[in-house]
Amino acid sequence: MRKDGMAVLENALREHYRSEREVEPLAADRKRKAADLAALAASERSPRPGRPTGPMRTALGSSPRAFWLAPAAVVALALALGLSGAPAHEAEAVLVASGPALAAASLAGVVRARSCGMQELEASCLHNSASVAFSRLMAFSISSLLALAVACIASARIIPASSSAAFSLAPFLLSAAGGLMLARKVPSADAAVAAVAWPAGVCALCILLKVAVPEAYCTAAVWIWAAAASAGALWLAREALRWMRLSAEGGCETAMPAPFCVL
Amino acid sequence: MSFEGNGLGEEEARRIVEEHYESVLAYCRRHAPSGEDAYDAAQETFLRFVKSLPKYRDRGKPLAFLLTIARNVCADSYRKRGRLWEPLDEETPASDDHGTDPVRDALRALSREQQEVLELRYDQGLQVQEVARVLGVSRFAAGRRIAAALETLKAELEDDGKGMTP
Repeated sequence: MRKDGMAVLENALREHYRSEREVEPLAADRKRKAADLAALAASERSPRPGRPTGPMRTALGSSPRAFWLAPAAVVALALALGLSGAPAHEAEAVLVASGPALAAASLAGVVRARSCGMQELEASCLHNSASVAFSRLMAFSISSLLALAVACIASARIIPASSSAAFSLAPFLLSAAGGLMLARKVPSADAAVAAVAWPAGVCALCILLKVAVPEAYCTAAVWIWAAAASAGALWLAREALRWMRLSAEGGCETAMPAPFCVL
Repeated sequence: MSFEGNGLGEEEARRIVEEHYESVLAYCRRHAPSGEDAYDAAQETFLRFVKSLPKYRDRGKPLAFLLTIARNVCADSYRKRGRLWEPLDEETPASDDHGTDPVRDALRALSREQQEVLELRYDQGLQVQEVARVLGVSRFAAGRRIAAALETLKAELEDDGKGMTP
């Protein structure tokens, strides 16, 4: 009798759940979207013969070719200035402008997925968005730093090495960190613009400083540039971590309007 | 069906979503923070399923594995929002137009764990062993929880004077 009671109860439960499912709206488009995404993720996970694998190759393969023009141009310009024996103020201007230019080119590649609204999709792919973002950051940072190092060496005859390192690193690091922060804070469609706008602002500020306050580039002020570079390095590390976290989460949009996000 | 250590093809992934979407969505609707979150959680569940397949070593129906993932996804949703689980309101679409349902009312009186174990067993149709795997407990513990939940539900129905008579 007790067993029969339980069987009736079990049947009533099944009937209850069945009726609940009947009234639930079955969103066909949601189902189709989920199926499409799962199929896409499955296809990304399937190894394809002859195709490069590994996040670094994936990151570099999907990066704009134009990026590599920036370090090449910086190196070429620095070599030209160094070999032609240009005056120190010109070399300094090139060095401070090189950092933001390289940062802008790098960030254009790093934030590409976000500005195209593909961060969520990347997060579900074989090499997810965080690992690809890390690879892009590493590749672009290393190539940019190498380009700056060559530029410093090339201008060593004109400017002392410590000064040229400080003058080039501080704008680069501050541009990269600020650009990443802005790209993270603004709505995803504006990420690329924000990532380039900040380095452009830093570049303009450095040139303005060069024109309005030439003393800012004297040997005595190098320690200030070095301090700015150190602060920029710490800020960039923090922003890089936050960017990777955002990538891992699929690039959640901020709820605040862009002008208030940066505050 | 076996996915032992292999990835899925596009068509196979699509077919699994088609077959199990309603079941996963039904679970997520009861356990995600909101109705909209439920859709996102269902989608995330299938993505995690596809991503975890190379490491997945199991045979049989994938539903138990899918619901294990869905359980974690829903828990993550609450964690992100800094909220604890709470039952859906009366106004949610899932409970509209049901009329008076003594079983539903009695289920609401059960604890979250008891509701979940009954849902897995009688809504999703999982075997006791599969329920145990989803909850991360032993088969015997799952069996005991189901029996205890049924007893509590029966008592609730009898208290309301709507006992189930054979």
